[in-house]
Amino acid sequence: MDVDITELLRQHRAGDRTAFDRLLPHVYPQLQKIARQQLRRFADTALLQATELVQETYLQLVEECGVDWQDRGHFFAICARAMRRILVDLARRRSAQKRGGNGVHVELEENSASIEALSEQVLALDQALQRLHVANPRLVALIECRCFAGLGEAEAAEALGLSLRTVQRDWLRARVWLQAALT
Amino acid sequence: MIQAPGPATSDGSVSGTAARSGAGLEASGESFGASASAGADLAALDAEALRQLDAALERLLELDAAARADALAAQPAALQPALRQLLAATEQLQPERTAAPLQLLQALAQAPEAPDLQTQATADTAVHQVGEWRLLAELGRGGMGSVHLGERRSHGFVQQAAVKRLHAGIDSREFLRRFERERRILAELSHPGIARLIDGGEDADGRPYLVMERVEGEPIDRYCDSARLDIGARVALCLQVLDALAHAHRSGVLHRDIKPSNLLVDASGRPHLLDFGIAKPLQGAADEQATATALRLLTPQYASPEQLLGQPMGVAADLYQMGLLLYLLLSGCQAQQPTDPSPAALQRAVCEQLPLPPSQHFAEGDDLQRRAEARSASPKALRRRLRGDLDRIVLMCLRKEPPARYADADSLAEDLRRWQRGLPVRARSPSLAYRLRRLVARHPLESAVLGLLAAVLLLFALQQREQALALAAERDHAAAQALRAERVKAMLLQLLAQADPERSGVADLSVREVLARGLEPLEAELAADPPLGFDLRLTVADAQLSLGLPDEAWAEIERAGADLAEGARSLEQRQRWWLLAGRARYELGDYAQARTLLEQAVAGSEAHDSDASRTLQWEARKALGWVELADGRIERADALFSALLAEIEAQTVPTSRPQPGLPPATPSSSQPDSELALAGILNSLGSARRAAGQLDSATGLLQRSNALYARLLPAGHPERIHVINNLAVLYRSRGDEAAAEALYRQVLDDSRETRGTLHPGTATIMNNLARLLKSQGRLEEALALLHEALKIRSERLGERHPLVAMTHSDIGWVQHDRSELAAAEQHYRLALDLYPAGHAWRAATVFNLGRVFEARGQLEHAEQHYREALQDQQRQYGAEHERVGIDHLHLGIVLRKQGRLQDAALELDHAARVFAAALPATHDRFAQLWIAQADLAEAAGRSAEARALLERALAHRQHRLGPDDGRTQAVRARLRP
Repeated sequence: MDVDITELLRQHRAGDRTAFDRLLPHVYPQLQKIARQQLRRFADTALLQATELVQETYLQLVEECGVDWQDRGHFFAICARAMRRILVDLARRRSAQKRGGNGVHVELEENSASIEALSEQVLALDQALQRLHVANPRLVALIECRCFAGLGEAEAAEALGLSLRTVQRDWLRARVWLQAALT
Repeated sequence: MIQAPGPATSDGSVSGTAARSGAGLEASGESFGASASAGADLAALDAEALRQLDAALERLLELDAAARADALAAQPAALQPALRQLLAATEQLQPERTAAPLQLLQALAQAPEAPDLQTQATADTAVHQVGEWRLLAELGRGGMGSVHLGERRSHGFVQQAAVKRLHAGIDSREFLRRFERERRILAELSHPGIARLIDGGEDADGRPYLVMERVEGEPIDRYCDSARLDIGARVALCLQVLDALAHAHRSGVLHRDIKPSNLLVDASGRPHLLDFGIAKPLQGAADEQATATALRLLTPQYASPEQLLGQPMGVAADLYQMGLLLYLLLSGCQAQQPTDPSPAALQRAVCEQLPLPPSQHFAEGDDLQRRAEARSASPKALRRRLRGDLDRIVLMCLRKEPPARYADADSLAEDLRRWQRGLPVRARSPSLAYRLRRLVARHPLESAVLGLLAAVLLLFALQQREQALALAAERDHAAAQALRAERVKAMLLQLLAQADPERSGVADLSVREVLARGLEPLEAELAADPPLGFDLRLTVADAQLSLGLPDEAWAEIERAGADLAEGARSLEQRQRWWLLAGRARYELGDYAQARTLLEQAVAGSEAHDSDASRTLQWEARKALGWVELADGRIERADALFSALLAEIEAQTVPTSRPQPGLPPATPSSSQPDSELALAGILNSLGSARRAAGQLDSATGLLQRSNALYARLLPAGHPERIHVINNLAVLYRSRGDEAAAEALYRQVLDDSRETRGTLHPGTATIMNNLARLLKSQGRLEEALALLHEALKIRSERLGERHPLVAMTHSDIGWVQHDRSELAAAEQHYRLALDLYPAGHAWRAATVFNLGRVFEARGQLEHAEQHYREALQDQQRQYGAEHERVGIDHLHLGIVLRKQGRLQDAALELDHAARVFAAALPATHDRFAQLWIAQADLAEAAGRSAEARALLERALAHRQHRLGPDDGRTQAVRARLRP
């Protein structure tokens, strides 16, 4: 890789907030590629746990990007944001297909109704997050970690460099915001 | 299965949002609310208002329902409707909603085709010819591509093979390079146990393909189960796999992805290793690096630690995976079982947790009967067959550190053959001493706690084994004993693995979790062996107390106590029980019972004269002193500590000078032991002197204690945290706020690091720091810390603990400064309700409640409270204590406000005398006093005197706090005409 991800992570850890945004473009394509592979790989096993995908994706990224293991917390936060974009893109495409947007006719599978509903929910969630970002970006990052990367409380705390207590408080508040926004 | 979307999202409102989803990610022009009903209020707010709203929400969510209503009313009117709406949302929180993204992922994966893969999948099946090969049917799909049954005709022969094609879309050069390498390597490999490479190349579209010998068979795990192979046959099968693997290793090829789906057993019972797809040449360090960054697919259950950590992989990684395979085939269970699907859990499972010996899976576990039947034996027989040598062989493969595993595939095969022939195997259990050494070196608190626990457990494990041997005649009994010894050891190993900071960034938490569970997993064994149970329980209770889990500790102590009543225990054991029980009651705030128990511990040792007994007695007397101190009986505490100090000093000859540059020695000989005891008692007496207001004496004692500890213990050790915290409290009492804050911050970090964020000791430091911040007017910081401390204390100590009451009182105190008088009164009343009757700290809350009344102008109420506090505190602390002076000061102020100027003057004089005797001249109390005296002078019409007093206060504050401090400015403002 041309860009030293480990170095960017180090800057990020040292408090350089812009490093996060500079990292994302490098992580996104890798993550997207791997997520596609994984989706395909699990397509006929029906055994995939959603978080397993994030996990495997992460493991591969560790290899590909040569990320220092001790940076995994910060790296998760970035993966979480990239996953959000990927899922929103997928959901958007799905919604477009449903409305006949790109002209490809798809026979609806048995569980496609759920996929449609879930896609809509993901898009609604994304919209809510955009607005919440104005009120408090930290809450958005937390929601990304927990919802899009499947991190637990403690892992999210590590990823965001916050105390567990703060994460617990923020999580309650984040859910309140979303509840108000999505009802 | 896919969870149905929540009912609240299946209505039309969500679709309404989706219709706008064409906007880019950064679009933010729209209202926050996704639907009209909820968006009405929030939509009207601009960015600044949203930020304010979030900050207000944060504060409100911290409060209970009653306080919330008050606080809500105090918010700006513009925010109130939106806040009300958000608070209403808390009533109907739905966790499912935010799970949608992950459910979508799952649904997409389960859908026959993921949406963005549609076209490409069609293209896949449309191709019928690859090179010379005609594709007949798709056999399956893997991480890299699809596998097809292919057919080639040449010279009149028809040849069938497996054709592996790379998916379109993954066309990176990385993959092409990888395929190139796979072709070259596989072409060199020729072994009946390895699927042969027949052909390879690029198809018409430029997509690479591989053609391999087609193996018709079943994955090895399913084959073994359906053929009901017994343990011997399974081992024999693995030996065949090892033969193939050894061949590949000799050719310089690693497999790196050994797992059942890559190991097919054909109809004749021969295993074939498929898919050397991620193999690589062994030689050359440069190659290692290159492959480490190469694209690779990983199955979590079959990952090796070095894979996960991104370290270079060698033969040892293949042997690790062979270990995982053996484990599965022998026990029917996965060796690596993450507790949840998160990366952190996977890392723990692979890199930290030691798997149970395979034999243990036939003691209990899921579908025990089915697994046993598949191995044509009873669970009991299987347990016997695996226990010992096979357990050791498998666990040797699964060592976390590559060099600790077998050297090569042949060595592993050789050990399995030795087992077959009934010869002793070479595999050995990992050295406990080695693990202990590493642990102690790296992690002061956990190792202190665990080292003790480990030593006791280890001792028992060994004792049990010896007993088992001695009782060889009674075979069943011996077997049971040996099993218990193994279990105790397994638990110990598990504890150690979790506590090793090299492997676990959250050592503290996982150890805490283990200890929070206590001895539950061993209950059955302990009941069968009371002496074992007694000592183990006390050891665990000790560890739990150190980790701030007094409730859990008390539970173990009580269970041990029942046993104490029944069995005859040695005096020392009884003494130890009394001491621990007393400490636990002290931690739980039950000072009366703590006192009784500790007095018994002291009395119990009097007749006994051994080193151990003497140390126990010292500890009990020190603990007793702390009980008295916590209970407000400072003089009794002082007397206890002073006597103890004299005794310990007499025992302690000063050691040679500390050697700079050398790490502090582990306290092993008795000399450092008594030096530690000395440091401890100096700290205790210093704290008592500080509480008594004897600041100079306290300073000398605490600094001596701190210096001693610094020499004896590593940084971050709980005892060092303890004394530094006490020093900070002392500096604060002396008015040196900057030094105090620096020490608090340092020690708070240390405490979070070594004791954990949820330790009650961490809460103590937070509370102390909050008081300091409060006095500097940094109210929001202080409030946040206090709420954090309150949460920890209520969780760990129970709602009715005096420390919980104290934190409520402190929150009230800060709320008062924020002019939130209703909230302040509420917290004070809560505190008064929670303190046990007659508790020493209660008077401070009574005083503070008086200040609320004073602020509201309810002067008589205020006076009444101040007088009550004065009376109590005079009794507790003596007439000369700073607190008593503060009582006089405020009584004087409130009397002046009532116009009773003579009475007021008397009280202020009292205060002045107390402060002069108890405080250094630099203390801000003097400025406070002069301001009060100035007010009084003014009320009496003596304005020149008032002005002189204010100028004196200003000079004092300017000198000590600096010209910019809010308190300095307040005085300056009053001096302006």
